[in-house]
Amino acid sequence: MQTILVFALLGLGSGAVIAAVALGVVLSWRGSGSFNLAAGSSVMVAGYMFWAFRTGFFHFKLGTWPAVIATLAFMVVYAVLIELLAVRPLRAASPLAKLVASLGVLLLTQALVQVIFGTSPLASPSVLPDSVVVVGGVPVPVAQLILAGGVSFLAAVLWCIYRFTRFGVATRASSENEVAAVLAGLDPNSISVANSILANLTAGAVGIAAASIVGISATTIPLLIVQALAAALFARFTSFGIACAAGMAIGVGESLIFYASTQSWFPSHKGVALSGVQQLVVFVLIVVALWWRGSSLPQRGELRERSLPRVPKQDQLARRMLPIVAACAIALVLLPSEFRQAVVTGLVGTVLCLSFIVIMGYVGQLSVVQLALAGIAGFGVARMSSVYGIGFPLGPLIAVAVALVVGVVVGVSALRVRGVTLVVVTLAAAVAIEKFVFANPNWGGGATGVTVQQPTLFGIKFGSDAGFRGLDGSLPSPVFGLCALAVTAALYAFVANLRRGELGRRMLAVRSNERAAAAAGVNVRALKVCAFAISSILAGVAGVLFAYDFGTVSASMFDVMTALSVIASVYVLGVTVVQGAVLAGFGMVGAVVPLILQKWVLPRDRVGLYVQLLIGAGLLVQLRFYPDGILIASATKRERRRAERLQLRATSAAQPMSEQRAVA
Amino acid sequence: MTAPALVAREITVRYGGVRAVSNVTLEVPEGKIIGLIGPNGAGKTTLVDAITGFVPCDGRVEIAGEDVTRLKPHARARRGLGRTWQAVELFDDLSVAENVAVAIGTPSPWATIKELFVKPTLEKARVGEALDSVGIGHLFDAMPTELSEGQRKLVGIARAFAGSPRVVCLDEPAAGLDTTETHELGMQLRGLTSGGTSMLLIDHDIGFVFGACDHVVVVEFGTVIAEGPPHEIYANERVIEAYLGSSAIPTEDPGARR
Repeated sequence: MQTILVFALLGLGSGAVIAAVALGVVLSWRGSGSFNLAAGSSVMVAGYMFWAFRTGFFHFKLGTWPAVIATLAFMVVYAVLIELLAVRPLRAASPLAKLVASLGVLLLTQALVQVIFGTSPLASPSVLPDSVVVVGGVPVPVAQLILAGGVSFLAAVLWCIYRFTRFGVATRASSENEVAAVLAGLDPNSISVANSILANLTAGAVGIAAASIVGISATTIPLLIVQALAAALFARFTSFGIACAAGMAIGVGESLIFYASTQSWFPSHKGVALSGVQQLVVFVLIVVALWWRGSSLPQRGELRERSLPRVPKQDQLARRMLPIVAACAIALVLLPSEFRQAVVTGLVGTVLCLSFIVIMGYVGQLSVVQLALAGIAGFGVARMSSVYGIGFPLGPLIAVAVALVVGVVVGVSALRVRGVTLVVVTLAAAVAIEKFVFANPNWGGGATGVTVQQPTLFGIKFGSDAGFRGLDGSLPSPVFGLCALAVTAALYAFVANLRRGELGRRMLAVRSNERAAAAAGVNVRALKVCAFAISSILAGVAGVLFAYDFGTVSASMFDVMTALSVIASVYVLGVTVVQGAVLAGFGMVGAVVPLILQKWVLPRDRVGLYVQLLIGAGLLVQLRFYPDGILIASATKRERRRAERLQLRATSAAQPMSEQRAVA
Repeated sequence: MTAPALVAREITVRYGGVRAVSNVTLEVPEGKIIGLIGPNGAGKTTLVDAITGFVPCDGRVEIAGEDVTRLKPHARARRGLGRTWQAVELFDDLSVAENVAVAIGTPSPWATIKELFVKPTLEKARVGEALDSVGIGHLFDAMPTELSEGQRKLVGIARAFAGSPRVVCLDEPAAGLDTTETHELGMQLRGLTSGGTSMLLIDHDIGFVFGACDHVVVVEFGTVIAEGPPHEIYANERVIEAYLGSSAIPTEDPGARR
């Protein structure tokens, strides 16, 4: 019993950090209506800056208090910067665009911090006392209690500010109805900046204090956003008290699950306790929160723009595809092995990105879970061959079917939610699948991963170990590349054609207006499930191809940061056009573009970081200047000219034209 | 005798403790236009929402004799119940032609699969016909965002009529149109009934409603206070008191618009 109490109290530390991030999420939502995926990054930035000030990283060393003040001052600057770069330009944009902007901030800061401070976690100088007090016979580190108390105090202060001050009333008014608030003489911009500064000061204080407890890491802290989102959901994105309490409870719960995993009764495999139970619990909590606290976020009255980029039609498909397919085929045979591999990875990446085009571009549902679905298929095909001896073609078929089933289950469980809420559900699902399935030695790859048997049919090898080895005679074989090319080209044509047909039209109708679609006879639920199914199959095929391409699968290939990066790059280039998938695919780590950068432009070991940096910065630029995505920007210009011509003709000859059509 | 195109029996809609619509029964015979008028907040739009399945309600809705009370909105739409909205709800991502095409027919799964592999064709003739019926055939290739409010309304109406529905609920189709446009719309609606389509027409423009409708239902505070042919309603004292008032009475003879 006493040990349980110890673990519960130890969990208060990380719980306090989760609570602080959750407070940041609530503040962003109330202040600017943005759904801030980068709330955890602020804590990370503060931790790194404090470390840098204290240890003399910037060639000057500060004492504890000066460093605290310098860090908090930096956080104010950081808040204003983010506000100017990522929040203000998108004030009138849809919640989804704001969310994508915060994803840009997350990717950008995470990459930037690692480029500047290095990739390994740092040990921070402690600001909290490391003594221990005895509470009811249980020794507890004072730091944990101070941190938990401090965050609770901050939550109380925030509650008071929002409850009793004119600033609080102004923020509430402008989040209820921005237009009315403007008419009442309030300036939403300054309200938003002030809230952003408050959020970042909260994050800063906690980042400094918690650094000695949770460590300074660019990989773990930003992802606390998943737990924080669960807490914020319970708080309906408005209540500081509930967000704080729920965040602490999640921290304590995770600590208790960790304790439980040391017990003999906890499910284990070969003496190792099941991993990922914490993440699974968070996912379940989020689903529960959605049912319990209502199906979606409270609506904000605000200026609205169109929510998603436009979707141009795909004309002259075959004519446009042929040269690219031919070029890829020639490249696969002629290029040296390194580039051949990169082309194959690019092709497979294209298939993965096509799955985002369907679910995000056509139906407007931002699903983070696609890469995890690819992972399920990848692990499926690997384990099928290595454990059960089921090879090609049954193995891949079963693997894709499993991905399809999981994707449809996620889709069905998310039917009641849409937009930003769906992002929370799928993000948590992706993390849970990564930790509970992929990293789990029982049914995933554990720490080492699983090797994949290359495909053969009737004794003929056509995997990457096939007989024909290209001009330079080395692995991987171009034969597999050509197979991947055929699959990619077929799926590309399929997704492009989808836009031209009845099904695609219905998807876009649902994306534009679910109510009106239902009134026009579209079964919205069935259509969403259908879209989830199609995109799960695409993701599954990508996963199988990834497995064959790399020869092994491991959890890190399908982790959630990679998924977010891929989403961001598809979004930058054009999430509504198939060409966007190709460019994003070839820009994925391991594919052609990063390989070229790595060989001739960037330091070898940093290429992933720089690509992420580029994507994050690109996202902010794109959302500001090319909201439809870079590929569509030029197409839009053409379309506009055409529309102007049409308008001219229409005004000059409205009557005769309609008669002509009636005759035709 | 064939069953009426639409029957709504004892429809009651509650929002919390408030009865927005209470025990309303109305019938739309085939090929007729029934007007639904009443002051703001009388529950007109709520009644249409209930009939089309967008809000839960007590009572019974029948389309051509078939009970559709338990069906979802899209299933009611497939059985021939169309509607438009007060604020036009177009699919801004689709061209005008595609907007209309969404409402035409329900593709079979097989046809859908086939379309994914061969180049699909838009049902140009039917879409063009639907657009021409409200006089906007020239907007075939335009995007909704390029249109004026009046044109958007007409696209919404064309979409509601495109699938050859039995009955269409029109929620304030004339709001935002000028006098000439309203007059033209009235003529077009009358023209559409010749194809056998019935309508339930909500509007604030009394002249328009009385001119276009065969029968008028007046609601106030969620209940029907009067119904009958336009000239009877026009003379009904209770209606005048509740809704028309002295200023709202059109100066021209309601029958003159026909």
